[in-house]
Amino acid sequence: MPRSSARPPQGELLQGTLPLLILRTLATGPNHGFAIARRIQQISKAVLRIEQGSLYPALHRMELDGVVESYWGTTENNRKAKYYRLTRRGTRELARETERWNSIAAAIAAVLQEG
Amino acid sequence: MPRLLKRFLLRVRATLSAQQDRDTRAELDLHLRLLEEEYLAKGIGPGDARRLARREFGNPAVFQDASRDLFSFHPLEDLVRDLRYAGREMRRSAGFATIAVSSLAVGIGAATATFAVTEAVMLRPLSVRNPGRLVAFTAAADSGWATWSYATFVRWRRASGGLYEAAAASDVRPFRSTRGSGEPPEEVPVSLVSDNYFDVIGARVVFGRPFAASDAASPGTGAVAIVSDGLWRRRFGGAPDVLAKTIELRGVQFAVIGVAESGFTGHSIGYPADVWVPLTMQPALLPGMPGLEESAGAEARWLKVVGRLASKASVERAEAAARLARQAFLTDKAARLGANTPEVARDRSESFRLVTATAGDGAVRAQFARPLTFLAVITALVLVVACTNFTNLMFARAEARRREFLIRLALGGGQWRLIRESAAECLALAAIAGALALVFASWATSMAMNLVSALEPLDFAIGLNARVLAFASACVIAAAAFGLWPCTRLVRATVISSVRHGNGTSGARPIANRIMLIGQLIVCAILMFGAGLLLRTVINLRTQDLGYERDVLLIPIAAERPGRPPEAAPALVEDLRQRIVAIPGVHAAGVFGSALLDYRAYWVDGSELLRTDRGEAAAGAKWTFAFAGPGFFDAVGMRAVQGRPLSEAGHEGEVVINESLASALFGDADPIGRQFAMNSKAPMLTIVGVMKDARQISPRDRGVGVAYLPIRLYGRVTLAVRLATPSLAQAASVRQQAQTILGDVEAGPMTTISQELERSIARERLTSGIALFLAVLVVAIGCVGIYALMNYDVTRRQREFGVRLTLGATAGRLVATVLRDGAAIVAPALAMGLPAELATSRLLASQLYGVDARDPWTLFSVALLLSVVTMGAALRPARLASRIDPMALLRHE
Repeated sequence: MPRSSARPPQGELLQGTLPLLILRTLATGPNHGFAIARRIQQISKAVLRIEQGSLYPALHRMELDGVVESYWGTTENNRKAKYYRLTRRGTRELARETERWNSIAAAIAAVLQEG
Repeated sequence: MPRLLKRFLLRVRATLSAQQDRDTRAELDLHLRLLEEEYLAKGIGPGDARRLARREFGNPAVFQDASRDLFSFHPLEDLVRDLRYAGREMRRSAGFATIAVSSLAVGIGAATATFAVTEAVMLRPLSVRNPGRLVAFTAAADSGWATWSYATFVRWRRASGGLYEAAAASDVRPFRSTRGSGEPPEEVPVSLVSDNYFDVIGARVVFGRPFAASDAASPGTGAVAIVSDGLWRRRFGGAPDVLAKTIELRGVQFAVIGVAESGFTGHSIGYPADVWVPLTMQPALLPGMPGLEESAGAEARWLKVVGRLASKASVERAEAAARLARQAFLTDKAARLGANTPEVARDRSESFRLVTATAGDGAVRAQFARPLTFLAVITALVLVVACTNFTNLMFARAEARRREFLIRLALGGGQWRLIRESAAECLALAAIAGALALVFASWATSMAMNLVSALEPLDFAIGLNARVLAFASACVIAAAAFGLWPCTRLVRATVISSVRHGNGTSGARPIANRIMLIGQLIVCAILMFGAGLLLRTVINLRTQDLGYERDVLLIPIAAERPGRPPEAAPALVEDLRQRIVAIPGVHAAGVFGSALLDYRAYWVDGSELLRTDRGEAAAGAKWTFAFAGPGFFDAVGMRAVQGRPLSEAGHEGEVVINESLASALFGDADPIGRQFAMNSKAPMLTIVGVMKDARQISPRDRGVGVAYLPIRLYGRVTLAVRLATPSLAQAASVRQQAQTILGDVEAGPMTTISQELERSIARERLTSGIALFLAVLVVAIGCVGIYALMNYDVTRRQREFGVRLTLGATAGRLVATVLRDGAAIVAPALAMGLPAELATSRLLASQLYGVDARDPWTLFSVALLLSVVTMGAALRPARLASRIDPMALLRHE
């Protein structure tokens, strides 16, 4: 289990958002763990900071849940790496989670503006 | 694949193999290396690059653990770990494991073997399509089906009202069938069946075709045959050209038209058929009876009738239809023969019913029901003894581990964990025992079937099928439960006692153990007593005075045969006898027209009234007769008590009787010269001699009267040859010379009277053998039980013994203490065993010979033997007690 610290550092992910980010990243095509972590950092302009290793337990749980599946492939640098890709179930999950996130975000934004 | 199943399999795989772990590690390593390389590319030194990468990544061990947790499957993982632990424990105490496993294997094996036989004989449905829809046309609620005439069957078949379809089949009979050149003829079991038999009973003809109506068009036609899968493979090598072959039965060539599906051997349990031919071949195969008479009247009964219910018909409606058909038939018959003839009256008095016939025609079941029940009770006792013994062993073992348990509980080990470990150990021991038990059971069943088929031509496909395996598994689980009980008890007791005493050496005296052990020993005593009585029966039968010699060579010969006039037979036999007498070393040779020690060759009855020359009748006397030829009495060594044997010429009207018959006919009066007749119409016979009683019919036939008449028919006789000095070498040379003398005369296998005696007591030998075998096993298990309990006691009381030794007790006193404890179990077992032995041996009374069911000598021997053996088992733990070293014990504390 990832260590819990007393105060979350700035930019730490909200609980449960990592799978959504992974799903979104994989929506552009299969990739291995390192590349997924890189993309999340690049796209979020390094605002979202994660301990990169925590990606793996998340990936493995998603694999067990059947939203992603894995296979061994080779990277552009000719290294053996485990690739992940979305399953059909994963695609559906991404759509559903995105919608849920958007509605929650909108709701929170509304509350904040009102407040 | 369903997602949950896929997920389950992923987790099981991950638990059982280390692959998932290795994959995760490789993934994490790659990621770290890539991060590191990025830093290196930015020009950061190798040490810093590694540190930075590590910071960005986090602790790989933590992620690895988190992933492993996801994939792991705890119950399975725990089970694997517990089983590994059990294996280690077993290796550590191999002696204990061997004893526990072997005694359980014996118990489970004996029970499984009995169940396998019971399953094959009593429970198994016919191996056909939907056997639940089969019905038998029978007379009473007997397990065997009634026999009917062809005429009756034809009515039933025609007047079925669409509720059922009926087929008929004869009983399975062996026929001699010659094979190709050079091969000896073989006996094949044949059943004559109606053309729709395969269709009705629901067996497929997998190769070729079933019978058609045109095969059985009229009596005497239809020389076609369907063969069993077994015969096809055995005799025709499983080749497809079997359909071009023929099979010879009674001189008729039957064209093979099909092969029945594998596993189908007909409707009759215990008598598998290998060849089926149409009913219409009855005149050729079973001549001498009006078997195919279609009109009601003087028809022969020789067919079993089986039906298959139509899809919606009930047994009751089908029975009503069949009953109606039978009524019409009987009316018809009464019209033809007259309403008051005895035959019609008998038919009318006979009951008729239709019963479901899922398990086939099991006439043989009635014969097996009693012995199997007997065996089931005994093996159930053996199993219970083995299981309680397992409990005792586990008790002793758990006691030895009390200290370990205590420490583990004290260190915070869970009770549940300890119990689970013990459960895994019990289950592992029981499972190994179960596997061995299957080996033992398949050996025991094939052994028993060999012995049974030596007595009667029975054949059952006994196998370790799903039902038998399920039974064995149930036994294994039960045994494991028996073993687990002491462990759970101990864990709880340890928790309590550790709180109370702070040490792990005390505990309640296991009263339950003692009671179980006493029960075991009572079972031992019962089995030993029964086995002892049966063994003495066999010995008595074997060693009794038969009334004739044993080393007599018997040569069955067929003096009559086609092409030789029957009048020539006596001269031929006499010539053979004279030439055999002339062989050096032969003392005498005689001719006998009946068989010795074969009850099937005699007709014993008390209903025919003997009558003497003074008109007295010997009512109720059991008697029979035999044909004695020249030299018979001398050859077998039967002694005359009065008068003389039959004259060699064999005068008609002369008779020799035995003492029993003489006293039945004439009481104490002198019988020589008196006359009697064998029934009211038979001519008077003059008594010329009285022979000493001999065991003529069976080894048990005391007091049966025998009249020896001169031989008249020489068709099949036995030559009895007695040697001057019986020795193996002498016998072998005489056999050889006799064989040369016989030349082309057809002769059966030569035997001796000893061999005939052994054959005639085969059943007794089988029963006593099984009883003795089981008794020895149970006693062995009982001894292990005593040993284990005493050992447990000594371990438990180490401290006490140590203190006593320190205070000056001698080693001998301690040995005596332990032995006294052993005696406290054996003595009550013997005392309580006595009434139990007497009660059960009463059931055996009818099978005993020359020994009373309450025989005190056997009772005493059993008690003595049991005490010696069990006290012997207690001796080792007793000596262990005497060798306790107080100092070592103190250091241990």
